[in-house]
Amino acid sequence: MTAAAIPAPETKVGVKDALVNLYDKFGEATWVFATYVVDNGLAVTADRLMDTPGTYTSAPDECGWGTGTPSFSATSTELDNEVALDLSTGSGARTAGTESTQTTSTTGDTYQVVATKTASGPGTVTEAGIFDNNTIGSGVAFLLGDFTGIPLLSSDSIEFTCKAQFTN
Amino acid sequence: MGFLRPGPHLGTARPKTTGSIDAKVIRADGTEKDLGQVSFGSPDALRMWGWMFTLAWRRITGRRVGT
Repeated sequence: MTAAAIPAPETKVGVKDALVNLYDKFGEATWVFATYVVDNGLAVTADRLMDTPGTYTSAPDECGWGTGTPSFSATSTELDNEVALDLSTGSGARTAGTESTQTTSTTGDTYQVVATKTASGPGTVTEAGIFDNNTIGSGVAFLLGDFTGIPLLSSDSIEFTCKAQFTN
Repeated sequence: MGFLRPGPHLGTARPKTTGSIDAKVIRADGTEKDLGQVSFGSPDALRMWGWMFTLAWRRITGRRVGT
């Protein structure tokens, strides 16, 4: 004699649960993660418009990444926990990216830096940015952003495309 | 129709910069996964959207955001 199969309980999803699910899926990500052209980035932009930049003589095309838990704002000046290609090392070099201008809304309105960083040690990358100096801990941040953690093993890579669009 | 045109008095036409980051993961075995835009922010727009979402969320569910 076999036991009768017990039917699975019905799962009812109400409006409130649906909203909770929607928030968990979309709302928090939109609320939490952000990319800023930081205040220093605005200064870099203005300075480098001059025939001879007065302060910022190097382009902000050096890409850094980090494993911190940042809460960026316009006044942020650095990644929360910037690391080298070995994601457990806090000093070393950033990665020189390839600059270009792109069209997002109007012709040539976007400054773009593309850089591929290959991990030499494992970790979870949660933040990235571009700077005007190749050495971690040096130079000025132009753009900083955070995102859902991307776990990497050694020899995994991330190709970052960092954009700053200017609008009027 | 001029009264419908967004203007500085509405806070909708201020010059601004908008940053974003796209990411593509390339595993050691060569497999790739394009995550697209992983981070985006126009601070003003983000804050305004966040406030509206928060108020609507509390109104509809009675639950505080983040709890």
